[in-house]
Amino acid sequence: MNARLRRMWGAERKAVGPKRPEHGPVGPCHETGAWLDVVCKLLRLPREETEGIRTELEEHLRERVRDLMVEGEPEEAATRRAISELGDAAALADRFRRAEHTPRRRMLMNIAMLGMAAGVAVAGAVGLNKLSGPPGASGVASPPQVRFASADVGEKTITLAADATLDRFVQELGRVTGKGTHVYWDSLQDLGFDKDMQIGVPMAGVTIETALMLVNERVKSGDQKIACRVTGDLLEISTLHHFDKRAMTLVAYDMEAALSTITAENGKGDVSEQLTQLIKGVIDPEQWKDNGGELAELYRVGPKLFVKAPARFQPTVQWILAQLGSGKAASAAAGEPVEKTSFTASGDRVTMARAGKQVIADAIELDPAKGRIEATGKGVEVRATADPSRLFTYSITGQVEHPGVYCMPREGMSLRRAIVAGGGKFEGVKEVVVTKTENGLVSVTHRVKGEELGLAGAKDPMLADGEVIEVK
Amino acid sequence: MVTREPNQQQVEIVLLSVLSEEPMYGYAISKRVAAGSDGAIKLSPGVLYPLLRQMEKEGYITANWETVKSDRAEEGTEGRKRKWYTLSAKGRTHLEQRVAAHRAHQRMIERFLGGSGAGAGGEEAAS
Repeated sequence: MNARLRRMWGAERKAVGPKRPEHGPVGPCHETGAWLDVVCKLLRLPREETEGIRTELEEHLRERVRDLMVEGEPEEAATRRAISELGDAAALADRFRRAEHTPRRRMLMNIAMLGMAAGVAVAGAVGLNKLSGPPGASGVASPPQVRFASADVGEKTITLAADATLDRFVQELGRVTGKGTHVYWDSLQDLGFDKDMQIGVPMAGVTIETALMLVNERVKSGDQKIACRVTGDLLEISTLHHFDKRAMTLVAYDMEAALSTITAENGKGDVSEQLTQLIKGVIDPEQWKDNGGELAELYRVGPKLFVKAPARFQPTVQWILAQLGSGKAASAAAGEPVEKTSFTASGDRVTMARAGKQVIADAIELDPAKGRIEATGKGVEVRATADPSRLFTYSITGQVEHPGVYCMPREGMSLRRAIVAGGGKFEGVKEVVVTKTENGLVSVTHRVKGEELGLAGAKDPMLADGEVIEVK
Repeated sequence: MVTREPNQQQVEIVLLSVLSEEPMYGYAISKRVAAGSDGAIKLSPGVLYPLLRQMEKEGYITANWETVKSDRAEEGTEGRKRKWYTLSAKGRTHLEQRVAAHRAHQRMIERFLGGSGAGAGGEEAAS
């Protein structure tokens, strides 16, 4: 450092850690010090934090001024320019303050972007599959929705006036379910659910599931929601997070079909990474440990995907894999024309290629129920008919050795056969619940008591496409 | 040469990439980014330092203070303090995810660009 520069910043001062330095009283150093004083006052952060920021900014200004002076700029002009590059003091302080408080919000934004990018890539890769089919068409499904109430009480109805308190609300939940209640008020109050708060909306014969949704809408508590679960004769009322921690599950999935689908159409990059990002991006992103959450984890080992997460996550993981697996069936099982003429699809747009030339289809006919895709363009025509049985899947989860997504055999699949195929046993099973999701609503299609499973002549319903079997 | 302020997402991926090479302090990072982009990316210090702080809070980078003592420092005096940033394991994972997402996004865009460009060719073939 030359004499001019040393004079500007003074001799090396005594300093311990990032403590606030003494500032020179005159000249550019004074100007810098005065500007930093203003920033630090506006920061309104704890003293130690403020001093750290000040020291870092001062060091930046020192180096910047030095560089500008080396380039020939006069000292005062260099100082003014360096300060002006830092911008308005109030705006800078505001950015620092926001940096203190926005990590979670920004994290969610990042997750949304990652999930979207992965989703776009994956959905684009699988082409004309169920994800991009027309609403209402056969085979189009939505992932299972979050349930705030146990399935066995969620459909019971409740009636309360809008000025009823939350305390009264939970008492009513106990009354209509005929169960004793235990409320974890400490957990709920942390989220803003106070005993004395009014529910705010009249409830006239609404289901408990809907009633909880309405209360959750009233209290904007981010990703944390009020929920209830039945444990024996007790109705427990707490946060969804509380119940999630209790219901952790580890499930292994076979990713092979989904990965093949993406690779066949996309062929580049780490497709399993895209798939796992999609899962972490769309299923309660804030709960995944990789995203800064504390509950869910997933691991890839070869073609297997191990998901350790609350039980309610697993059907949606299955749903995602089922969509991609079906996508593969639609294209891989397609007939000879596909070998001669390749095609890719996204939404209602099909691009066909032959001899290295590509055209956009003029007309597309899509019939997922029959596994048939027809598209015509100038000089190119695609007719692909998939084996319909390969298009249908069911999923099995819970107390079975091989949970996952299975293709429906041509002759169909009965519930008991599906349990056996999934490595499950009838002994020790409390209950088997089969659910189906249509238009975003999950409904129970079959419910079989454990003791009925092993009985000869007991009901053994045939499964339908997209159904999820949960063996409890 | 066109210089522009990148958005925060772009700045973050650039900062993580730079720090994946070696630990650096703020001013060195801004110079490294400018040099690496031939001056196309100019990181305003008013954006850089709050973002570094945010990334530190999120655990993507770690920071430690180092004393900088010049040759001419007086005997018995301590040097200035400089804050060095290092990419953490979490930050490295995050960077990998961001890079993968960025590339997936790029590929998607290329699919459309390729489709429109090749579409014209297809029409030629058809005619």
